[in-house]
Amino acid sequence: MITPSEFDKIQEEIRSVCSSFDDKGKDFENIVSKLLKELGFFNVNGNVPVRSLVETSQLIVLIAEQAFINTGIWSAKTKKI
Amino acid sequence: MWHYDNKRLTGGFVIVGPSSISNELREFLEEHTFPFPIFNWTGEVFVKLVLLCPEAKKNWFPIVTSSPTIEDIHQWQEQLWNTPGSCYAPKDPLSVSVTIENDPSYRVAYFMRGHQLEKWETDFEFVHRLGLYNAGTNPLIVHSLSIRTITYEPLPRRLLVQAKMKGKFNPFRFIYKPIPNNGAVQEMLSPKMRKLDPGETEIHRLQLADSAIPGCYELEIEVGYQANGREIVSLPQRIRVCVCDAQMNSDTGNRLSLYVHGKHYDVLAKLILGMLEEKWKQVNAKMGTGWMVYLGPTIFDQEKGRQMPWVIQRIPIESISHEDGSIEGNLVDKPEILLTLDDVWGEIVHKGMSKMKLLELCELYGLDHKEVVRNLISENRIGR
Repeated sequence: MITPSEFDKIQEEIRSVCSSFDDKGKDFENIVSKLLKELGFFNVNGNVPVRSLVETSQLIVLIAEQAFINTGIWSAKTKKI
Repeated sequence: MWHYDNKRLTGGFVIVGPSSISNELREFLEEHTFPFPIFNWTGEVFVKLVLLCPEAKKNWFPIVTSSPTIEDIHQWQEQLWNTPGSCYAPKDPLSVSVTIENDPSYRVAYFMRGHQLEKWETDFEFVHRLGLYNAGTNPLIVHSLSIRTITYEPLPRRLLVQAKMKGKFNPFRFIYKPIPNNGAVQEMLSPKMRKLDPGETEIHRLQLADSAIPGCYELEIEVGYQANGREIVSLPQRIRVCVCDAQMNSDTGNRLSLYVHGKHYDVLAKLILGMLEEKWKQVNAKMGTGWMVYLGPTIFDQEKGRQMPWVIQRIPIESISHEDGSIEGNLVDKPEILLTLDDVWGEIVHKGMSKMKLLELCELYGLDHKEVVRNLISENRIGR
Protein backbone atom coordinates (compact mmCIF):
# COMPACT_ATOMS: atom_id res chain seq x y z
CA MET A 1 0.00 0.00 0.00
CA ILE A 2 1.07 3.56 -0.60
CA THR A 3 2.05 5.09 2.74
CA PRO A 4 0.82 8.56 3.82
CA SER A 5 4.25 10.09 3.29
CA GLU A 6 4.51 8.53 -0.19
CA PHE A 7 1.04 9.85 -0.95
CA ASP A 8 2.03 13.39 0.15
CA LYS A 9 5.09 13.21 -2.12
CA ILE A 10 2.95 12.09 -5.08
CA GLN A 11 0.48 14.91 -4.39
CA GLU A 12 3.33 17.45 -4.50
CA GLU A 13 4.60 15.99 -7.78
CA ILE A 14 1.14 16.17 -9.32
CA ARG A 15 0.62 19.74 -8.13
CA SER A 16 3.96 20.81 -9.58
CA VAL A 17 2.99 19.34 -12.96
CA CYS A 18 -0.43 21.07 -12.80
CA SER A 19 1.20 24.42 -11.97
CA SER A 20 3.10 24.24 -15.27
CA PHE A 21 -0.12 24.01 -17.30
CA ASP A 22 -1.28 26.98 -19.38
CA ASP A 23 -3.29 29.73 -17.71
CA LYS A 24 -6.35 29.30 -19.90
CA GLY A 25 -6.91 25.82 -18.54
CA LYS A 26 -6.73 24.05 -21.90
CA ASP A 27 -4.06 21.58 -20.75
CA PHE A 28 -6.06 20.81 -17.65
CA GLU A 29 -9.28 20.35 -19.65
CA ASN A 30 -7.42 17.90 -21.85
CA ILE A 31 -6.07 15.83 -18.98
CA VAL A 32 -9.40 15.80 -17.12
CA SER A 33 -11.09 14.65 -20.30
CA LYS A 34 -8.53 11.82 -20.60
CA LEU A 35 -8.89 10.87 -16.92
CA LEU A 36 -12.68 10.71 -17.01
CA LYS A 37 -12.64 8.82 -20.29
CA GLU A 38 -10.26 6.28 -18.81
CA LEU A 39 -12.64 6.02 -15.86
CA GLY A 40 -15.54 5.21 -18.18
CA PHE A 41 -17.38 8.50 -18.67
CA PHE A 42 -18.56 9.31 -22.16
CA ASN A 43 -21.19 11.23 -24.04
CA VAL A 44 -22.94 10.64 -27.36
CA ASN A 45 -19.79 11.44 -29.33
CA GLY A 46 -17.60 9.20 -27.19
CA ASN A 47 -15.96 12.30 -25.70
CA VAL A 48 -16.04 13.82 -22.24
CA PRO A 49 -17.20 17.45 -22.22
CA VAL A 50 -15.02 19.47 -19.87
CA ARG A 51 -15.17 23.17 -18.98
CA SER A 52 -12.53 24.89 -16.87
CA LEU A 53 -13.86 27.51 -14.46
CA VAL A 54 -12.35 29.70 -11.81
CA GLU A 55 -15.27 31.16 -9.89
CA THR A 56 -17.47 28.98 -7.70
CA SER A 57 -20.54 30.88 -8.88
CA GLN A 58 -19.72 29.94 -12.48
CA LEU A 59 -19.51 26.33 -11.43
CA ILE A 60 -22.89 26.40 -9.70
CA VAL A 61 -24.47 27.95 -12.79
CA LEU A 62 -22.86 25.25 -14.94
CA ILE A 63 -24.19 22.47 -12.71
CA ALA A 64 -27.65 24.03 -12.88
CA GLU A 65 -27.42 24.19 -16.66
CA GLN A 66 -26.70 20.49 -16.80
CA ALA A 67 -29.92 19.81 -14.94
CA PHE A 68 -32.07 21.53 -17.53
CA ILE A 69 -30.27 21.65 -20.85
CA ASN A 70 -30.15 18.78 -23.27
CA THR A 71 -26.48 17.93 -22.94
CA GLY A 72 -26.43 14.39 -24.22
CA ILE A 73 -23.89 13.51 -21.54
CA TRP A 74 -23.93 9.95 -20.32
CA SER A 75 -21.63 8.36 -17.81
CA ALA A 76 -20.60 4.97 -16.60
CA LYS A 77 -18.68 3.21 -13.91
CA THR A 78 -15.79 1.67 -15.70
CA LYS A 79 -14.64 -1.90 -15.75
CA LYS A 80 -11.08 -0.70 -16.26
CA ILE A 81 -10.27 0.27 -12.69
CA MET B 1 -23.20 1.07 -17.60
CA TRP B 2 -26.54 2.35 -18.85
CA HIS B 3 -28.61 5.09 -20.40
CA TYR B 4 -32.21 5.34 -21.52
CA ASP B 5 -32.20 8.47 -23.64
CA ASN B 6 -29.90 11.31 -24.54
CA LYS B 7 -32.18 14.07 -23.28
CA ARG B 8 -31.39 13.78 -19.61
CA LEU B 9 -28.19 13.85 -17.62
CA THR B 10 -28.34 10.36 -16.20
CA GLY B 11 -24.82 9.78 -14.94
CA GLY B 12 -23.41 12.58 -12.88
CA PHE B 13 -21.53 15.84 -12.73
CA VAL B 14 -17.86 15.79 -11.81
CA ILE B 15 -15.75 18.55 -10.30
CA VAL B 16 -12.03 17.89 -10.79
CA GLY B 17 -9.05 19.88 -9.61
CA PRO B 18 -5.74 19.58 -7.75
CA SER B 19 -6.97 22.02 -5.05
CA SER B 20 -9.89 21.28 -2.74
CA ILE B 21 -13.22 23.03 -3.23
CA SER B 22 -14.23 25.97 -1.05
CA ASN B 23 -16.43 25.58 2.05
CA GLU B 24 -19.09 27.67 0.27
CA LEU B 25 -19.28 25.17 -2.58
CA ARG B 26 -19.15 22.21 -0.19
CA GLU B 27 -22.19 23.57 1.67
CA PHE B 28 -23.99 24.08 -1.62
CA LEU B 29 -23.28 20.51 -2.73
CA GLU B 30 -24.46 19.08 0.60
CA GLU B 31 -27.86 20.70 0.05
CA HIS B 32 -28.17 20.33 -3.74
CA THR B 33 -31.54 19.35 -5.19
CA PHE B 34 -30.41 18.33 -8.67
CA PRO B 35 -31.68 14.96 -9.90
CA PHE B 36 -28.16 13.52 -10.43
CA PRO B 37 -25.12 12.84 -8.24
CA ILE B 38 -22.32 15.42 -8.14
CA PHE B 39 -18.82 14.03 -7.64
CA ASN B 40 -16.13 16.07 -5.93
CA TRP B 41 -12.80 14.69 -7.05
CA THR B 42 -10.50 17.46 -5.89
CA GLY B 43 -7.47 17.71 -3.58
CA GLU B 44 -6.39 14.28 -2.31
CA VAL B 45 -9.12 12.54 -4.29
CA PHE B 46 -7.70 14.06 -7.49
CA VAL B 47 -4.39 12.38 -6.71
CA LYS B 48 -6.20 9.07 -6.29
CA LEU B 49 -8.03 9.69 -9.57
CA VAL B 50 -4.71 10.15 -11.38
CA LEU B 51 -3.28 7.00 -9.81
CA LEU B 52 -6.39 5.04 -10.82
CA CYS B 53 -5.85 5.97 -14.49
CA PRO B 54 -2.48 4.48 -15.53
CA GLU B 55 -2.66 5.65 -19.16
CA ALA B 56 -3.31 9.30 -18.30
CA LYS B 57 -0.73 9.13 -15.50
CA LYS B 58 1.92 7.78 -17.87
CA ASN B 59 1.25 10.45 -20.50
CA TRP B 60 0.72 13.51 -18.33
CA PHE B 61 2.47 12.78 -15.03
CA PRO B 62 5.53 10.69 -16.00
CA ILE B 63 7.27 12.08 -12.94
CA VAL B 64 4.94 9.96 -10.77
CA THR B 65 6.28 6.43 -10.79
CA SER B 66 4.34 4.91 -7.86
CA SER B 67 1.39 2.64 -8.58
CA PRO B 68 -1.44 1.72 -6.22
CA THR B 69 -1.86 -1.79 -4.87
CA ILE B 70 -5.01 -3.84 -5.42
CA GLU B 71 -6.19 -2.86 -1.91
CA ASP B 72 -5.61 0.84 -2.71
CA ILE B 73 -7.59 0.50 -5.93
CA HIS B 74 -10.61 -1.10 -4.23
CA GLN B 75 -10.59 1.44 -1.40
CA TRP B 76 -10.15 4.50 -3.67
CA GLN B 77 -12.70 3.28 -6.17
CA GLU B 78 -15.27 3.07 -3.37
CA GLN B 79 -14.24 6.53 -2.17
CA LEU B 80 -14.63 8.11 -5.62
CA TRP B 81 -18.11 6.76 -6.27
CA ASN B 82 -19.77 6.36 -2.90
CA THR B 83 -18.11 8.24 -0.04
CA PRO B 84 -19.82 11.39 1.32
CA GLY B 85 -17.60 14.35 0.47
CA SER B 86 -16.57 12.70 -2.81
CA CYS B 87 -20.11 11.94 -3.95
CA TYR B 88 -23.10 14.17 -3.23
CA ALA B 89 -26.13 12.05 -4.07
CA PRO B 90 -29.45 13.63 -5.04
CA LYS B 91 -31.84 14.18 -2.16
CA ASP B 92 -34.70 12.50 -4.01
CA PRO B 93 -32.65 9.78 -5.66
CA LEU B 94 -35.27 8.02 -7.82
CA SER B 95 -35.42 9.30 -11.38
CA VAL B 96 -38.68 8.36 -13.10
CA SER B 97 -39.29 8.63 -16.82
CA VAL B 98 -42.41 7.83 -18.79
CA THR B 99 -41.99 7.75 -22.56
CA ILE B 100 -44.36 6.40 -25.17
CA GLU B 101 -43.14 3.15 -26.68
CA ASN B 102 -44.46 3.62 -30.19
CA ASP B 103 -43.51 7.13 -31.27
CA PRO B 104 -45.22 8.22 -33.44
CA SER B 105 -48.24 6.14 -32.48
CA TYR B 106 -49.86 3.69 -34.86
CA ARG B 107 -53.27 5.29 -34.39
CA VAL B 108 -54.25 8.86 -33.64
CA ALA B 109 -57.76 10.09 -32.77
CA TYR B 110 -58.96 13.49 -33.96
CA PHE B 111 -62.00 15.38 -32.75
CA MET B 112 -63.15 18.99 -32.39
CA ARG B 113 -63.60 20.90 -29.15
CA GLY B 114 -65.40 24.02 -30.27
CA HIS B 115 -63.16 25.29 -33.08
CA GLN B 116 -60.06 23.57 -31.68
CA LEU B 117 -58.77 20.41 -33.38
CA GLU B 118 -57.78 17.79 -30.77
CA LYS B 119 -55.22 15.09 -31.59
CA TRP B 120 -54.94 12.26 -29.04
CA GLU B 121 -53.26 8.87 -28.87
CA THR B 122 -55.77 6.04 -28.98
CA ASP B 123 -55.91 2.95 -26.77
CA PHE B 124 -54.52 0.81 -29.61
CA GLU B 125 -51.21 -0.51 -28.20
CA PHE B 126 -51.05 2.46 -25.83
CA VAL B 127 -47.83 1.50 -24.08
CA HIS B 128 -45.24 3.58 -22.22
CA ARG B 129 -41.73 2.75 -21.08
CA LEU B 130 -41.40 3.33 -17.36
CA GLY B 131 -37.78 4.05 -16.39
CA LEU B 132 -36.77 3.83 -12.71
CA TYR B 133 -33.20 4.89 -11.92
CA ASN B 134 -31.65 5.07 -8.47
CA ALA B 135 -29.18 7.97 -8.68
CA GLY B 136 -28.42 7.73 -4.96
CA THR B 137 -25.73 5.88 -3.03
CA ASN B 138 -28.09 3.68 -0.98
CA PRO B 139 -30.67 1.08 -2.05
CA LEU B 140 -34.27 2.28 -2.23
CA ILE B 141 -37.58 0.43 -2.17
CA VAL B 142 -40.26 1.36 -4.69
CA HIS B 143 -43.57 0.38 -3.10
CA SER B 144 -46.17 2.25 -5.07
CA LEU B 145 -46.99 2.96 -8.69
CA SER B 146 -50.27 4.75 -9.14
CA ILE B 147 -52.21 6.37 -11.94
CA ARG B 148 -54.56 9.26 -11.19
CA THR B 149 -57.32 10.42 -13.53
CA ILE B 150 -57.01 14.20 -13.84
CA THR B 151 -60.03 14.61 -16.13
CA TYR B 152 -62.45 12.24 -17.78
CA GLU B 153 -65.15 12.92 -20.37
CA PRO B 154 -67.14 10.59 -22.60
CA LEU B 155 -66.12 10.14 -26.22
CA PRO B 156 -67.05 13.07 -28.46
CA ARG B 157 -69.93 12.46 -30.87
CA ARG B 158 -67.71 12.83 -33.92
CA LEU B 159 -64.37 11.03 -33.97
CA LEU B 160 -61.77 10.35 -36.65
CA VAL B 161 -58.98 7.81 -36.22
CA GLN B 162 -55.97 7.68 -38.54
CA ALA B 163 -54.17 4.34 -38.35
CA LYS B 164 -50.73 3.25 -39.47
CA MET B 165 -49.73 -0.37 -39.89
CA LYS B 166 -48.49 -1.71 -36.57
CA GLY B 167 -44.92 -2.73 -35.95
CA LYS B 168 -43.19 -4.88 -33.37
CA PHE B 169 -44.80 -6.01 -30.17
CA ASN B 170 -43.15 -6.35 -26.78
CA PRO B 171 -45.20 -8.35 -24.26
CA PHE B 172 -43.45 -7.45 -20.94
CA ARG B 173 -45.70 -4.87 -19.23
CA PHE B 174 -47.82 -3.56 -16.34
CA ILE B 175 -51.50 -3.55 -17.31
CA TYR B 176 -53.71 -0.76 -15.95
CA LYS B 177 -57.34 0.26 -16.30
CA PRO B 178 -57.80 3.96 -15.45
CA ILE B 179 -60.83 4.93 -13.38
CA PRO B 180 -63.26 7.22 -15.23
CA ASN B 181 -63.67 9.60 -12.27
CA ASN B 182 -61.65 12.78 -11.85
CA GLY B 183 -59.06 12.41 -9.10
CA ALA B 184 -59.45 8.63 -8.80
CA VAL B 185 -56.21 6.70 -8.32
CA GLN B 186 -55.38 3.17 -9.39
CA GLU B 187 -52.44 1.37 -7.77
CA MET B 188 -50.44 -0.92 -10.07
CA LEU B 189 -47.54 -2.20 -7.97
CA SER B 190 -48.47 -2.47 -4.27
CA PRO B 191 -48.29 -4.78 -2.30
CA LYS B 192 -45.40 -5.93 -4.49
CA MET B 193 -42.18 -3.90 -4.44
CA ARG B 194 -39.09 -3.26 -6.55
CA LYS B 195 -35.64 -2.89 -4.97
CA LEU B 196 -33.20 -0.75 -6.91
CA ASP B 197 -29.55 -0.87 -5.94
CA PRO B 198 -27.45 2.27 -6.46
CA GLY B 199 -26.93 2.88 -10.15
CA GLU B 200 -29.52 0.27 -11.10
CA THR B 201 -32.08 0.90 -13.84
CA GLU B 202 -35.28 -0.96 -14.62
CA ILE B 203 -37.31 -0.35 -17.78
CA HIS B 204 -40.90 -1.57 -17.63
CA ARG B 205 -43.94 -1.24 -19.87
CA LEU B 206 -47.18 0.42 -18.82
CA GLN B 207 -50.06 -0.81 -20.93
CA LEU B 208 -53.66 0.24 -20.96
CA ALA B 209 -56.05 -2.67 -20.37
CA ASP B 210 -58.25 -3.77 -23.28
CA SER B 211 -61.24 -3.43 -20.95
CA ALA B 212 -60.68 0.31 -20.28
CA ILE B 213 -63.92 2.29 -20.36
CA PRO B 214 -64.20 4.45 -23.53
CA GLY B 215 -63.50 8.15 -23.06
CA CYS B 216 -60.74 10.76 -23.07
CA TYR B 217 -58.41 10.44 -20.09
CA GLU B 218 -55.69 12.74 -18.86
CA LEU B 219 -53.57 10.73 -16.46
CA GLU B 220 -50.68 11.27 -14.07
CA ILE B 221 -48.17 8.57 -13.19
CA GLU B 222 -46.53 8.76 -9.78
CA VAL B 223 -44.00 6.51 -8.12
CA GLY B 224 -43.85 6.26 -4.33
CA TYR B 225 -40.65 5.03 -2.74
CA GLN B 226 -38.59 4.86 0.42
CA ALA B 227 -35.01 6.08 0.36
CA ASN B 228 -32.65 7.16 3.13
CA GLY B 229 -35.42 6.52 5.69
CA ARG B 230 -37.86 8.89 3.99
CA GLU B 231 -41.13 8.44 2.11
CA ILE B 232 -40.93 10.21 -1.24
CA VAL B 233 -43.35 10.53 -4.15
CA SER B 234 -41.86 11.27 -7.58
CA LEU B 235 -42.92 14.25 -9.65
CA PRO B 236 -46.01 13.18 -11.63
CA GLN B 237 -45.58 12.31 -15.32
CA ARG B 238 -48.60 13.26 -17.42
CA ILE B 239 -50.02 11.25 -20.33
CA ARG B 240 -53.39 11.29 -22.08
CA VAL B 241 -55.38 8.78 -24.09
CA CYS B 242 -58.59 8.62 -26.09
CA VAL B 243 -60.00 5.12 -25.43
CA CYS B 244 -62.08 4.54 -28.55
CA ASP B 245 -60.84 1.41 -30.35
CA ALA B 246 -63.88 -0.72 -29.43
CA GLN B 247 -66.29 2.10 -30.27
CA MET B 248 -65.23 2.79 -33.83
CA ASN B 249 -67.91 0.60 -35.43
CA SER B 250 -70.80 1.93 -33.33
CA ASP B 251 -72.04 5.03 -35.18
CA THR B 252 -71.13 5.03 -38.87
CA GLY B 253 -72.06 8.69 -39.32
CA ASN B 254 -69.73 9.83 -36.55
CA ARG B 255 -67.00 7.20 -36.29
CA LEU B 256 -64.42 6.82 -39.03
CA SER B 257 -61.14 4.92 -38.97
CA LEU B 258 -58.83 5.41 -41.95
CA TYR B 259 -55.41 3.93 -42.63
CA VAL B 260 -52.55 6.30 -43.41
CA HIS B 261 -49.12 5.50 -44.74
CA GLY B 262 -46.06 7.15 -43.25
CA LYS B 263 -47.67 10.00 -41.31
CA HIS B 264 -50.83 11.36 -39.75
CA TYR B 265 -52.46 14.31 -41.53
CA ASP B 266 -53.66 16.95 -39.09
CA VAL B 267 -54.95 19.45 -41.67
CA LEU B 268 -56.92 16.79 -43.53
CA ALA B 269 -58.34 15.61 -40.20
CA LYS B 270 -59.92 19.01 -39.62
CA LEU B 271 -61.39 18.93 -43.12
CA ILE B 272 -62.85 15.43 -42.68
CA LEU B 273 -64.24 16.18 -39.22
CA GLY B 274 -66.21 19.00 -40.87
CA MET B 275 -67.82 16.75 -43.50
CA LEU B 276 -71.48 15.70 -43.47
CA GLU B 277 -72.54 12.56 -41.64
CA GLU B 278 -73.74 11.08 -44.95
CA LYS B 279 -70.20 11.19 -46.34
CA TRP B 280 -68.87 9.38 -43.28
CA LYS B 281 -71.58 6.74 -43.69
CA GLN B 282 -70.69 6.49 -47.38
CA VAL B 283 -67.02 5.79 -46.56
CA ASN B 284 -67.91 3.37 -43.75
CA ALA B 285 -70.23 1.47 -46.07
CA LYS B 286 -67.30 0.85 -48.43
CA MET B 287 -65.22 -0.78 -45.73
CA GLY B 288 -65.21 -4.51 -45.41
CA THR B 289 -63.03 -7.51 -44.70
CA GLY B 290 -61.68 -7.49 -48.26
CA TRP B 291 -60.63 -3.82 -48.32
CA MET B 292 -58.33 -1.34 -46.61
CA VAL B 293 -59.45 2.27 -46.70
CA TYR B 294 -56.68 4.89 -46.82
CA LEU B 295 -56.57 8.60 -46.28
CA GLY B 296 -54.01 10.05 -48.69
CA PRO B 297 -51.43 7.88 -50.40
CA THR B 298 -51.21 4.12 -50.00
CA ILE B 299 -47.99 2.17 -49.69
CA PHE B 300 -48.01 1.72 -53.48
CA ASP B 301 -48.37 5.46 -54.13
CA GLN B 302 -45.42 6.17 -51.85
CA GLU B 303 -43.16 3.49 -53.26
CA LYS B 304 -43.88 4.42 -56.86
CA GLY B 305 -43.60 8.14 -56.07
CA ARG B 306 -47.06 8.78 -57.56
CA GLN B 307 -48.55 12.21 -57.11
CA MET B 308 -52.02 11.49 -55.76
CA PRO B 309 -54.91 13.90 -55.50
CA TRP B 310 -56.04 14.16 -51.87
CA VAL B 311 -58.48 11.32 -51.55
CA ILE B 312 -60.02 8.69 -49.38
CA GLN B 313 -59.42 5.52 -51.34
CA ARG B 314 -59.68 1.81 -50.76
CA ILE B 315 -57.45 -0.95 -52.03
CA PRO B 316 -58.39 -4.62 -52.16
CA ILE B 317 -56.91 -7.40 -50.08
CA GLU B 318 -56.40 -10.49 -52.17
CA SER B 319 -56.58 -13.86 -50.43
CA ILE B 320 -53.77 -16.28 -51.18
CA SER B 321 -54.36 -19.95 -50.32
CA HIS B 322 -51.36 -22.09 -49.49
CA GLU B 323 -50.99 -25.82 -50.02
CA ASP B 324 -51.13 -26.42 -46.27
CA GLY B 325 -54.59 -24.86 -46.15
CA SER B 326 -53.54 -21.53 -44.61
CA ILE B 327 -54.75 -18.28 -46.15
CA GLU B 328 -52.81 -15.03 -46.29
CA GLY B 329 -53.95 -11.54 -47.26
CA ASN B 330 -52.08 -9.50 -49.86
CA LEU B 331 -52.66 -5.82 -50.65
CA VAL B 332 -53.29 -5.17 -54.34
CA ASP B 333 -52.52 -1.95 -56.18
CA LYS B 334 -56.02 -1.34 -57.55
CA PRO B 335 -57.18 1.78 -55.75
CA GLU B 336 -60.80 2.82 -55.82
CA ILE B 337 -61.42 6.48 -55.02
CA LEU B 338 -64.20 6.93 -52.47
CA LEU B 339 -63.95 10.68 -51.85
CA THR B 340 -61.76 13.44 -53.24
CA LEU B 341 -60.53 16.17 -50.99
CA ASP B 342 -59.55 18.57 -53.77
CA ASP B 343 -60.74 21.61 -51.93
CA VAL B 344 -58.22 21.03 -49.16
CA TRP B 345 -55.75 23.37 -50.88
CA GLY B 346 -58.48 26.00 -51.15
CA GLU B 347 -58.91 25.67 -47.40
CA ILE B 348 -55.30 25.98 -46.44
CA VAL B 349 -53.48 27.87 -49.20
CA HIS B 350 -54.14 31.59 -49.42
CA LYS B 351 -52.59 34.68 -50.92
CA GLY B 352 -49.90 36.13 -48.74
CA MET B 353 -48.89 32.72 -47.35
CA SER B 354 -45.16 32.68 -46.68
CA LYS B 355 -42.88 30.50 -48.80
CA MET B 356 -41.72 28.74 -45.65
CA LYS B 357 -45.29 27.85 -44.73
CA LEU B 358 -45.97 26.59 -48.25
CA LEU B 359 -42.77 24.54 -48.18
CA GLU B 360 -43.88 23.09 -44.84
CA LEU B 361 -47.26 22.11 -46.30
CA CYS B 362 -45.65 20.49 -49.34
CA GLU B 363 -43.43 18.52 -46.99
CA LEU B 364 -46.50 17.47 -45.00
CA TYR B 365 -48.35 16.33 -48.09
CA GLY B 366 -45.33 14.82 -49.81
CA LEU B 367 -45.68 17.14 -52.82
CA ASP B 368 -43.08 18.65 -55.12
CA HIS B 369 -42.72 22.23 -53.94
CA LYS B 370 -41.81 23.79 -57.32
CA GLU B 371 -44.69 22.11 -59.13
CA VAL B 372 -47.17 23.13 -56.42
CA VAL B 373 -46.03 26.76 -56.61
CA ARG B 374 -46.30 26.69 -60.45
CA ASN B 375 -49.84 25.28 -60.29
CA LEU B 376 -50.98 27.67 -57.60
CA ILE B 377 -49.66 30.67 -59.55
CA SER B 378 -51.40 29.46 -62.75
CA GLU B 379 -54.65 29.07 -60.81
CA ASN B 380 -54.15 32.55 -59.34
CA ARG B 381 -54.33 31.05 -55.81
CA ILE B 382 -51.10 32.77 -54.76
CA GLY B 383 -49.13 35.74 -56.08
CA ARG B 384 -45.92 35.46 -58.11
